[in-house]
Amino acid sequence: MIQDHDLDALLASPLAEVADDGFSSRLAARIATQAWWRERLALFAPVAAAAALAPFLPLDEFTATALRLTPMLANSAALAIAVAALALTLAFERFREAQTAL
Amino acid sequence: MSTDWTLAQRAAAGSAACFEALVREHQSRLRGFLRRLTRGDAALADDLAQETFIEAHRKLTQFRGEGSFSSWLCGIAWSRFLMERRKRREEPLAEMDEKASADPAPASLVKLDLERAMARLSAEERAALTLCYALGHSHGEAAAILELPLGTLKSHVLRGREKLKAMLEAGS
Repeated sequence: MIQDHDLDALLASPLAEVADDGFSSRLAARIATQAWWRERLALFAPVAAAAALAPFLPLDEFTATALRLTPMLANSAALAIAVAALALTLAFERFREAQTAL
Repeated sequence: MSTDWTLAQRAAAGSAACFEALVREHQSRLRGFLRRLTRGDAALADDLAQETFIEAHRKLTQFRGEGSFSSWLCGIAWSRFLMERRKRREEPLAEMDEKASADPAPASLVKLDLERAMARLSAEERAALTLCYALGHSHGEAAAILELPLGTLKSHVLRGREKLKAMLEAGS
């Protein structure tokens, strides 16, 4: 006949200690490997997706449009003035920052 | 805040050393719990423990520190165990008994009898008894870990305890 308190004591005895035996290190290595693959996947997946989609994109039209627009942009006086204004503004800002720093 | 919570926060921020420290701290309890659930199948228990820690690592940001880290891990381990059980279906009892008796962990004959008797209980009863007695969780915590209503958890504890008592008495 087993008494209730004996059964309770038996049930409450702690579980047998399980020695680590490299379990934690193996797990850490596995997680590190998974992280390495995840990083590579995040890096190369967009490149691979773009490469896979490239044959289906209308690249001929892009090329033709670029060829038509490039000489027009190069000969545009308005664009040249705008770029010069932007460059002068940036140069002035740099100069002012340098003066403030001194 | 507890040390576990601090370590979990740092591990979530990318510290591999902090996560390894958490694994070292909790591996024995978790593997012991899973060995009980798998009726002494150490290899299966260790596989499940690995999957549990990997899932925990992935979900570290979801650990809010409201309960203990150990409870949170046990909850993940229990759902992993249920998935595995659905995949495999329950194995025949005789085979399980051999595994339980082959487990070198029990130190005494009484403990060995307990492990054998435990192997004859349902998984829910084994889990409820182990969580509430051997791992020292309250009934509320155990119910949360096993995602059971409190009343159901208490029934599993009572029924499991009665079955164990009957089996141990019949064996002695």
